[in-house]
Amino acid sequence: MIKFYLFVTKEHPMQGKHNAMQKATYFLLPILAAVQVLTGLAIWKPVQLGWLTAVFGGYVWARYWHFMTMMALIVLSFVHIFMVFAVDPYSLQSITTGGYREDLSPEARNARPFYHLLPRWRRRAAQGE
Amino acid sequence: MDRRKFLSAGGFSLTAAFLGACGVDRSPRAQRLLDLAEQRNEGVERSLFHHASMDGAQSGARIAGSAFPSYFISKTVPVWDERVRGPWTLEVSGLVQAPTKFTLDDLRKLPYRSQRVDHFCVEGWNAVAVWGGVRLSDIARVVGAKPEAGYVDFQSFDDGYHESWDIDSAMHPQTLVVIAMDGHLLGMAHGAPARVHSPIKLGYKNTKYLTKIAFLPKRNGGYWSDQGYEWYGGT
Repeated sequence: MIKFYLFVTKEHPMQGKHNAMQKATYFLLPILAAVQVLTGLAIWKPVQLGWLTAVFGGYVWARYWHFMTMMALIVLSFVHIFMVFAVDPYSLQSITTGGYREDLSPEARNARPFYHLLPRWRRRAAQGE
Repeated sequence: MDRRKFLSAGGFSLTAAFLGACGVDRSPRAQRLLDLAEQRNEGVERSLFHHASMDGAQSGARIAGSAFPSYFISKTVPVWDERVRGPWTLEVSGLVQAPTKFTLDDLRKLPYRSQRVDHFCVEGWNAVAVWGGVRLSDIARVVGAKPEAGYVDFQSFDDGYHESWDIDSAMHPQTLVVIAMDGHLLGMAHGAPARVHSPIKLGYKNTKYLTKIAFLPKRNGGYWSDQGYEWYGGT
C-alpha cells in the first residue's frame, strides 16, 4: 500500500474493505480513547486516584501521556478526514445515506491521494477513447 | 437513555462548556446548566474522597525551593506590619466551643508535623516542598469544632483573599496550618506568618497570609471560586 502511494508500484493492491494502515488506525483509536480518559482521571485526582497516576509513571508523566494521546487523536482524525476527500470521496454516500458503490472504490479507480478521483470510464471519456 | 437523548444531552453540555469557557454567554439558562454540572461533579469528587488517601511526592522529585512559584492578589507582597496592625494572631472562630486567637508561639506548642508533598496548581504544574506546621484537625480539637460545621473558611490579609472548604478535606491528616517551608520559617512570598497547605486541594484553595479560620454551617465561596473556578478543587 505504501509502495503504491509512493509511486513504486503501479496498481492499487487489492485490500478488501480496509487496508493495513486503516486497520492499524481503527484498532488504535479505541485504545487511544481509553488512555485519554484514564490519564485524564489520573491528572484530575493525583491523590485520591494516586494508584492510577502511578500506573502512568506519576503526575508529570501522566500529563505527558495525556497530551501525546490528544495530539495522536487530533492528527489521526485530520488525516482520516483528509483521506476521505483526497482518495475516496464516494464514501460520503455510505456515511450519509448508506450504500457503497464498489465500482467507484479506490481500487476500482486505482486512486492515490488526489490521483484518479474520477472513475475509469469517465477518464476514458475525457481522453476521447 | 436512547441515542437521540444522549446526543441532545451531549450537545447541550458541550455547548455549555464551550460558552462557559469563552465567557460569551451569561444567560441564566447556560449558567444554571454549568452550576448543575459543577454540583454533579462535586458529588463525584466527594465520593472519591478518602481520609486515608495520602500524597507522597515521588522519591526522585526535587524540592522546588526558591523556584517554588508564589502568587498573591495584592499589588506587592503582603507583609504583616506589627507596628501598624499589632501582633499577628490566627483567629479560629465560628461553630466552635472556644473561639481562640493563636499567636505564632501558641501554634508552635501544638503537635508539629512535617510532610514532603506535592503542590498541584490548577494551571497544570506541580512542585514539591517540605511543609511544617499543625494539622487543622488538631486545631479543630483544641477549639472544639461543633459537628454542625460542614465548612471551613480560610481568610487572609492579602486584600481579602479567602477560600472555603468542605469539612472532610479540612480534617484530612495532610491539611496543615503551615508555619515552616523546607526547614525554614515560612517566607513572605509563600504566605508568612502562616498559611494553609494540603496536597489534596488545588493551589488556589490553599489560602496564604492567614488571619482567620471560620467553621461555618454553609460554604462561603472564595476569591477564585466566586470568579468561576471550581469551588471544590480537590485532587
